[in-house]
Amino acid sequence: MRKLRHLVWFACLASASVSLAQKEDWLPVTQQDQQVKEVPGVPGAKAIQLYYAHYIDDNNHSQFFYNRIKILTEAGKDVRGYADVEIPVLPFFSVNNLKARTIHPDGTIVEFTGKPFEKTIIKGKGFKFLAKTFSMPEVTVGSIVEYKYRIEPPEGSIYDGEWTIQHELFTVKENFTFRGYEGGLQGTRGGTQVSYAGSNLTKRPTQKGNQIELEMENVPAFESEATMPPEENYKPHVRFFYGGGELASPERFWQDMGTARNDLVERFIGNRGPVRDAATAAIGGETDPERKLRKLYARAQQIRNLSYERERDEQEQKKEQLKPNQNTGDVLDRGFGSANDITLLFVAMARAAGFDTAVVLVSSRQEQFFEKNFLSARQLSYMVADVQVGGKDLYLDPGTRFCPFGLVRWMRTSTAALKLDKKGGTFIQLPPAANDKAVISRTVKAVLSEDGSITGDGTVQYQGGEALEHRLDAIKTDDAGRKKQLEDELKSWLPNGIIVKITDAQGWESTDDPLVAHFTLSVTNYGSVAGKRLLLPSALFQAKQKDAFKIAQRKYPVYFPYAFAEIDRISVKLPAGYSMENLPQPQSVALPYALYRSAAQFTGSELVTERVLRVNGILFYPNQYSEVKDFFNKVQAGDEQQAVLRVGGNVNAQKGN
Amino acid sequence: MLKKGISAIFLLVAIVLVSPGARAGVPDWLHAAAQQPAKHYADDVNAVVLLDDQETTIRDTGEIVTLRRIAYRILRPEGKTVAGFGLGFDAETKINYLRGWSITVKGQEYEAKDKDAFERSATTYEVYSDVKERILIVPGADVGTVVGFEYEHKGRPYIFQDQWSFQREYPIEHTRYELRLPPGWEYRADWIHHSANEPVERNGAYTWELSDIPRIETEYHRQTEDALAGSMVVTFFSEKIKNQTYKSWKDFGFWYNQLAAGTREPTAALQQKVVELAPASMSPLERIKTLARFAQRDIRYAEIQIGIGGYRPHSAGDTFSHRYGDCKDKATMLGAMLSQIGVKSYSVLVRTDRGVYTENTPPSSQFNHMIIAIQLPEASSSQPMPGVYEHPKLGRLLIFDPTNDLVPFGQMPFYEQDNYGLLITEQGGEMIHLPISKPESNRVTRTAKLTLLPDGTLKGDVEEVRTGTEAYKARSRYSHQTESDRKKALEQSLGGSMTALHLDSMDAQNVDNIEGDLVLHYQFTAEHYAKNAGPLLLVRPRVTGEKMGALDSTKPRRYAYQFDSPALETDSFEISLPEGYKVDELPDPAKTSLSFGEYNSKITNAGNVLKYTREYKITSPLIPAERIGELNRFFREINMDEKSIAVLKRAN
Repeated sequence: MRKLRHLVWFACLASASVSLAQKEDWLPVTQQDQQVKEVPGVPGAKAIQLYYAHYIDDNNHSQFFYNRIKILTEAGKDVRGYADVEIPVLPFFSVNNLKARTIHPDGTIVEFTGKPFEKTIIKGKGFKFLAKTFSMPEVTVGSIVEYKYRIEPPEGSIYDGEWTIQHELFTVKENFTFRGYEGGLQGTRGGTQVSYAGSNLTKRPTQKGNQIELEMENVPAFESEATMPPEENYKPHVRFFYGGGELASPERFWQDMGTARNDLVERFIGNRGPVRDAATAAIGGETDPERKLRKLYARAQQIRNLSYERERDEQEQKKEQLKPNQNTGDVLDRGFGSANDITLLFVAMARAAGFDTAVVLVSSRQEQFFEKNFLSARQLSYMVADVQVGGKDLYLDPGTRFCPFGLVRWMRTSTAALKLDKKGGTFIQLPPAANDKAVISRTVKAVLSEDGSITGDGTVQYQGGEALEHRLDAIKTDDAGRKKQLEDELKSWLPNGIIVKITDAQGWESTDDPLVAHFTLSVTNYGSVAGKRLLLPSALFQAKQKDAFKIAQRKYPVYFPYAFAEIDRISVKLPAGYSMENLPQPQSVALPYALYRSAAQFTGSELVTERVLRVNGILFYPNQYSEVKDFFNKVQAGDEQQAVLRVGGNVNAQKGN
Repeated sequence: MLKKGISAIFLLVAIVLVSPGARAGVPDWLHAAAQQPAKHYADDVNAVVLLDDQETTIRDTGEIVTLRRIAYRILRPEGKTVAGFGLGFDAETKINYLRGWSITVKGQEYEAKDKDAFERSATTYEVYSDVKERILIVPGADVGTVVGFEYEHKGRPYIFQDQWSFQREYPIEHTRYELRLPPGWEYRADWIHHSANEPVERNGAYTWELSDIPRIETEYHRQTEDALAGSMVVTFFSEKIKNQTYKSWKDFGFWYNQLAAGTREPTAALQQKVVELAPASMSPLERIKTLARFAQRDIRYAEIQIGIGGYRPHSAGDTFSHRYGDCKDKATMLGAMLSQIGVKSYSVLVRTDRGVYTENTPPSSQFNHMIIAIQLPEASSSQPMPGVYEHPKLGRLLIFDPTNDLVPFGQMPFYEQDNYGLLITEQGGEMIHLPISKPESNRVTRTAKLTLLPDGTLKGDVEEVRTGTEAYKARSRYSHQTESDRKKALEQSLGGSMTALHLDSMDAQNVDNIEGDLVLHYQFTAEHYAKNAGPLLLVRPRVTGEKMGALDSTKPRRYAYQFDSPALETDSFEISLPEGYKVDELPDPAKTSLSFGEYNSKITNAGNVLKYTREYKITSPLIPAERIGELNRFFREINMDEKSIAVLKRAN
C-alpha cells in the first residue's frame, strides 16, 4: 500500500496513458497455462500465479492490478485458498473497473457477474477502511481464476508507491510499470523529483523518461523460516519516492535529513541554566569522568519515560498535563518525556559537564535492517548518545528504560546509525554487545530419589541485556505475571512435566544490578530406572536455541537477537546406597564465535555438573549453517549424556571426572 | 455459520486511533459500582465485573429493546482490554446508543460517546457477513480503574429468544436480568449449567439476580467456555409471533422446516448432474456415496451471510450453479440431490465444539454448523460405518458432514462425535446423541526397523499408518503443506526427541485419497542417539511418537479434560544392536489400565535385536474433573516409559 507524501500542486495533468490502458486487457489463456499441473520443484503447492501485473500511473492517479491464479489442489480452492478474493481499500481510496472470471480446465469461461461486497475492516469518525470481497464462480481444481481492478487515491493526492515482487505464490510472469507524476508537488524543494530504490532484485528495472518498467519470470513464493532475520530484509521490492532536490542521491538525502534533524535536535538540547544546574547537582563532588557520566545517566533515567507507558488520548493528556516537550528544560522541569527526550536531556547534561557528546540517530533491526537506498527518515528515528571518554566512543542508551550504563538495547546494536553534526552527519555502525553482556546463570541444588524423581531449589540470575529484556517485558504485567513469565521460561528450559515455583524475584526496577529469582523444582521420572541402575541426564537445563537447528537446510540465516552466555552449576545429591558407575565425559566444543564446555564431578554423594555455553554472534549465514548446526548438535548431545548410578558398589569408584 | 473472531490486533490499532470525547458525565450507577469495597481475587484474575445489569423489554410489535449497563474493575495490566467494548449488530438491529466512562484510581473521570466508536465486521471467516461490531474504547485504562458501558439496542429477531449469559472469563460480583412483557405475552426461562432461580415480579417486570459468579478458568484441554458457563435462556411466546418461537426441540424443527421450505427444490441442471454422477446402474450405496462426495469435494466452502441468510440456506439450485456455499447450503444441496435418487435425508444442526449441547439443553439456537443424516438403504446394513446412527423409527441414518472434505464417507469428524445434534424431520426436531467411533477406528500404527551403530548413531525405516480421526488430523496439516514443508515439519517433530537428526527420505501416501489409510514412510539417521558411557551404550527404545499429554499439576483441576476422540496407537520398533554389544539391563514393562484408557509397553531382547512394543488406547474422550488424578498418573506412567533407557554393554 502507498503512503501519503504530497498534495498535487497543479491541476492534474491530462496526459492520458493510452499505452498502459492497452496493457490492461484480459490476456489470452495459453495452452501452457492450461497444462500447468504443479509448481516447478514444489510438489504439493496449492496454487500458482500465472501472471501478476501492477501498473502505477500517477498522472492518471490510479494503480492497476491483475492476478491470474491457477488452482492446483483442493486446499487451493477452499477457505483461505485463492477462490475468495478480498481487496483492501484504504480510507478515501476507491476500487474501480473490477472484473473477474473463472476459466475452466476445458477453456470455458465463467464471468463473475455479481457485485462485490463491502466488508468493513474499520470505520470511524470520518473514515472507512473497507475491503471489496467476492467469491469466484464454479472453481474446481485446475481452474484459472483471474481478476483485475484499478485503485484510485483521493483526488489531488500523490502517494509514494511500491511494487511487491515476491508473493505467497510462485509467479510465472510479472509485469510492473511506474509512470511518475509530471507536475509539481507541494512541499518539495528544488523542483519535484521522483526516485526509486530496489531491494533484493535479481533484475534491474528499465527507465525510459518518466516510465520505469520491470518484467520478472519464475519468481518463487516467499517462504519464511523459523529464527530468521526480519522477513522484509529478504523480500524483493521496488519503492518510489517523491520529493525535491534531496532525492538526487541517497547521500544527498541522508545529508539533508541529517542537517535538518541536527538543527532540530540542537535547538531542543540548547544550553539552559536549569539543565546545567541539574548536571552539577547530579555530579556532586565526583571527579572521575566515567563515574560523572554514570551519575548524569542515572539522573536522566529518573525522568518518567512515556515511551514505556500506554498511549494516552487527548482527554488524558490534558487531565494529566502531559504536553509535548519543546526543549530539555521542559523535560527536566516537567519530569517526563519520550525516550528521545530523555536521551537529549542526558546529552545536554553531559555537554554541560564538559563531555564531547553527539546525538546518534540509530536504526532498529527488530523489524527490518537499515537500507540506505530506502529514502525514509523513519528508518533512523531513535536516538542514542555518543560520548567521548578517554578518546573512545561510549554509546549510551538512557532513553531505554532500565538500560544499564554502557549498554545499548540489542536492536540498536550491530546496525547503521547517523552521528549528527552541522553538516548532516556521518554514518557509523553501532558496535555489537559481546556475550558477557547478556548472561543467564543458573544454580540448582537437588536431591535424587531412587525412583528417579528429583526435588530441589535453585537460583537464576539475569545480567546485562538479559536482565534488561526481562525488565522491559515485566512492565506489561504485575508481580503475578512476572512470576508466571519466569516460571514459563524455566519450564521451557527443563524436561517435560517439571513443576517449577518461583519463590522470590528481586531487581525488577534496577538497571545495573542483576535480576535474581529463586525457585523450587520437582520432577518425577527425571532419572530412568533400568534394573539395578539409575540413569541421570548430565544437564538439567537444555539449550533453548537447539530448535533452530532441526531442519537439514536453510535458505536464510539463523538469527539470534543478541550474543549470549549461559552458565550453570547443577548439584544433585544421590540416594543412599548408590555408587557412580560412569560419569559423563567432559565436553569442550569451540568455534571462533561459540563455546560449549561441560564437566561433571562426583563427590561421593553429589553429582556436580558445570556447564558453559557462549555464543558471540547474531547472524549465521546459510553457508555457516552446517557448522553451527553441528555445534548445537554437540551441545545437545553433551547435555543428554547420562550419569550411570548403580545400587551398591564402591561409592568412590568414579570420583573426579 | 462457522465463525472466527478477529484478532486483538485491531483493538491495539483502535486504542491508538481513539479520539477524545466530551467532558465526562459519569452516571450514578457507575459511581456506585466504583465505590463498592474491593474484594479479594486470585492473583491471575485480570478484571472483575462489578455489575452487569440488563433490562429486556418486549414491545407488542415484537420489537425487543435491551438496555444494558456493565461495570468492570481492572485488576491487572492484562485486564486493560476491558476498556474496549464491542457490541454486535446487523441490518435488523439498531444501536440506539453506546456510551462508556472510566474512573481512575486518582478519581479522574473520562467519557467516550457514540461518535468515538468504531465499527468493523464481526468476523473474518465469511466472504461477507452483514453482522458488524461497534467498538467503544474509554480512556484511563490502568490497574484500579473502573470502566463502565451502557447501551440500548432494539431489533426484531428471527427467533424470539434471549440469553442471559452470566458467567464468563471474569468473575461477576453482581448481575441482574429484568424482563418486561406486554400483555398477552409469556415467557419460559431455562437454565444452563446453573440451578433454576425464580424471578421476583414487581410492577409487571420479572427480575433475576445473582451474585459472586466465579469465572471460567483456562485449563489445558478443557471444553469450550459455552460448554461450562452458566446462562439462562428466555423464550417468548405470543400469538403474534407464533411462527418465530418454539417450546420444544420438536417446535424448533418445525420452525426450521418452515424457514428452509423450498430450498431443496431441484433445478433441471441439478437433476441432470445427478443422472450423470449417479446413474441407476450403480448400487444404491454407491449412488449415495458419489453424490455425497460431489457435495463434499466439488462444492467449495464459501459463506455469504446476509440477514436471515445466517439461518436459511441458499436454494440447492443456486449452490449447485455457483459451485460454492456454506455448511447449510452444502447439506441442503446434497439433500436435494439424494431425493433425486429416492433417498431421504434430514438436516442436522450441531455445535462444532462438543459439550455445548447435551441431552438436558433446553431448546436454544446456539448452533454453528449444519450436517446431514442420510437414510441408508436396507442393503447397506452389512457395511460397518462409524458414522451410523440407529434411529428407532427412521432406521440407519448416516451422519455425514459435506463441509469437511477430509473425512471419508461413513465417518464423522471427531468434533461431531459424541456430540448432540438436532435432527430435523417432517415431524419436527429431535435432539439426538451422535455416535462415537471406537478406538480401533482411529489408529496410528507405527513400525520401525532400526540399526544402532557403536558410536550411538541410530538409522532405519519407519512406517506410520493412520486411520479415522488420526488420518483426518494429519491430512488437515498435509493438505496445506508442500512436500518440502511436510519434510521440514517432520524434521522438526522428530528432532524434538532425537539429536542431530537427518531425514534421509519421506513419502506420504493417500494424502488426497481420503478413502485409503494415510501412510507415511521415512528413513532417518540420528547421530548421538545412544549415549556412550564407558563400556556401556545407553539407548532409549521408544524412539519416536511422544504421547504424554499436557496437564498442569500445580493447581487443582476444575473442569473435565477432553481428548479429540477415542484412539489406538501401537508402536513396534526393532533395533538391531551393534556388533560386540549385548543387553545388560532393560527397563521394566509398563502397564496401566484406567477407566478411560490403557497403556502398556514391553522391551524384549531377541538375539541382537531389541524389541519395543507398546499400545496406547483412549476409550473415552472426556475425563471428568474428579478423575484428573488418574489422568495425571496415566501421563506420568507414559512419561516414565517414554524416557526409559536400555543398558547395552560391550562384550570384553
